[in-house]
Amino acid sequence: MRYRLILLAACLALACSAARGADHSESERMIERYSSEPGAEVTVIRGGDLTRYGLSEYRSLTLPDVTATTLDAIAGAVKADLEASTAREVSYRDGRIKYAFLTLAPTGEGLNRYVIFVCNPAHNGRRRVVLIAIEGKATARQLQNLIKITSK
Amino acid sequence: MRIKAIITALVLTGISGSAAAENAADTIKMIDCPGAVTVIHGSNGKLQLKVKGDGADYDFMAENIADGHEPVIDIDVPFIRETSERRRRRYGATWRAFSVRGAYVGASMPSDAVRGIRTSWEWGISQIVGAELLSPSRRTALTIGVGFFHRMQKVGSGYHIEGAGDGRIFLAPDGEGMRSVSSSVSSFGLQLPVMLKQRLVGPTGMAIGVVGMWNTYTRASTKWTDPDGTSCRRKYKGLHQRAFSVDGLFILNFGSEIGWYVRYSPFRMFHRSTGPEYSLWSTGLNIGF
Repeated sequence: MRYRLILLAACLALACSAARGADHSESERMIERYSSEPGAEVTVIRGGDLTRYGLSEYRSLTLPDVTATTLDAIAGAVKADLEASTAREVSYRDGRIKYAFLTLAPTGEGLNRYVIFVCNPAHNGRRRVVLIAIEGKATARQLQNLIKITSK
Repeated sequence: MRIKAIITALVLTGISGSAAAENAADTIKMIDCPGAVTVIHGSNGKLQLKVKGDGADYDFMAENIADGHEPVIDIDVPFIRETSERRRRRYGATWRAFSVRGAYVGASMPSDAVRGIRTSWEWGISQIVGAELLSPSRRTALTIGVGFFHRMQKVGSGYHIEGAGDGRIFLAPDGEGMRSVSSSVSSFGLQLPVMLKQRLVGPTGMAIGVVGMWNTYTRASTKWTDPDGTSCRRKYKGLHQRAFSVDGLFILNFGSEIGWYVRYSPFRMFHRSTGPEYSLWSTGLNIGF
């Protein structure tokens, strides 16, 4: 009886974990996966001041000096999200995604999901990558008004 | 993305269509309702464009020449900026302990016109130990410390200190025949300065603040020589000096060590009924900032 209970709890935990994972975009997985890369800067904000902007969660990963392999993996994830996105704003350079603002399907709780990807040149010919995943009730227009994206 | 496109446009076969006069100056060719457009990616970044239509075939060659500058996309997220600013404010300021600052020696002058009170001297260390709260820029600091002071207030100009019993003193004119009269009020105590310090240029800076003074020990003495040559001395202890007072202090330091200070002591050392009433200005040399 005791073992059955443990097994049931384990299955429930697995199911909950899978259910939570289903809401995660490929880009979010990349943020988790590369968060311990050398020089990686990860910012996670939940609730608090975010609610003022109609947002509930903000995750960002900045890799200041990304290798080609890592860049390919991240760009691949962004491409996968791009294909699944409901709205997108993408610019390419030399056949690669340089900038993407993706609106993904809402979460089970009805929160909007967004992914922002930026690939900038770094000092040594490598790339500096910023990957942001945002959840909240804010619309894409509100988010674009909130986050200033400039090209110089 | 800024890419300079140079269209070299070689029109290889019969350009029969006439370019409309109203077209822009950089328009090479206008083709209405082309039958087919083929874009061929050539070598060295060159593009070949084949157009059928207008009763003729056209073959254009275009070359994209990047200027080598790739734009940098900047993302400014306001709440991240706010968070990092708050963090900087919260974690940027630091406390630091220090020892022996503000050793000073200077002249003290009565600010009230009290007969007999003369310009004298004082010395002390305003902060033997202390702590300071440094701003993130490290140029501004709030300091608090504990030190000591010693003030010797001379009495003269025909007056000296006399005792009135029960720890009370007063200023009395020198008696006839009193020679070589030397009289003073000496006080010693602890001081607790709270200063706002600002670096101006390099290590040069200024500080302004208030100093709590705890007058723990005060005594007076008068020494004179009688007409018959007898040397006399009287000491008065157990005086009723003001136990606590507050001074104002301003320091201008040139470099990190030598400076100049001005101190104002508005609280009178004695009440009218217990001793001479006087308040002091003092100024002098400050060492250590």
